[in-house]
Amino acid sequence: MKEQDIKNAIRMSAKAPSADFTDKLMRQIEAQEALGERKSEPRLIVGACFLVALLSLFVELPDLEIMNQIIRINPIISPIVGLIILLYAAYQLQESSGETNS
Amino acid sequence: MKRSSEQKIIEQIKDGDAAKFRLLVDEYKTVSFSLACSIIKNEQDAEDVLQEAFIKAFQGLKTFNFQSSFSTWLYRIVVNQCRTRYAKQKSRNEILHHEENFSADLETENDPLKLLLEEERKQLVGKVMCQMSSEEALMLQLYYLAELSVAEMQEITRFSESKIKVSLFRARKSFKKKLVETYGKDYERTRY
Repeated sequence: MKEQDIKNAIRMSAKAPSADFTDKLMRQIEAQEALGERKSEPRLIVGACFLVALLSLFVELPDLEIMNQIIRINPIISPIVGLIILLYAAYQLQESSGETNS
Repeated sequence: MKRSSEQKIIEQIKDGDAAKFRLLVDEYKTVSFSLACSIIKNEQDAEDVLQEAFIKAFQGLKTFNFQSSFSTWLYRIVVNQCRTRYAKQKSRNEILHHEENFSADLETENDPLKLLLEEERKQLVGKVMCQMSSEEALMLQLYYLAELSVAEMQEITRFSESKIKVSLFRARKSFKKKLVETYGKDYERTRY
């Protein structure tokens, strides 16, 4: 048996997957792509909110002067606002993961 | 497919045109499936693993930097994925030796007798491949079907050059022996 015979025999025995293999695979890839996009959106929101919340811990809001009246903003306000934003982001994330699971 | 057009397709996929991945799948699915079958020995499982491997390849395409050819890179993913599955199967003793019909599209003449003999021969070779060890069958598929060089085979299997050469030599010998011993008469009859 010559080298060429082995090559021909092996090439002959090459197998192909089922006819709808590519279609099934592409459907799966498209589904994963869509899922990836849906997942990345809330992550971006959470990231942005986290940054805002973090900044609110260090930034002290200046006093506001409206119609000759000085309004003093309590230093506790900005962390509270930051916390509200974070909770909202967490809620959004939970909502979106609920959609994905269903 | 030319390497330049393949590179262009990969760039388009990287830029977000996921549908173009179909072209790569169609180009490489037959050789990849044969590689998977040589390791896993079960067509249904091999198809599942191949699907996972192609998805992995799609996800990893962003990091593909054209240092090696796409085929070598893809076959490495396929072989690694198959090895992982094979190890799991082996531990569960679930390896089945299938003797199924092989559905490769091959150019044949329209003579029914020739077609019949061709099909019969294909099955005989397929059976012999199933009897061979995964490593030997993989070596033969990579060398003769995928037409890779020893260096490319090294990249895929992570074996040393000498191990590949020895394995290939043994695989060739074993293939010849099994083919002639087991199906000698039938195989000769189907040669025209």
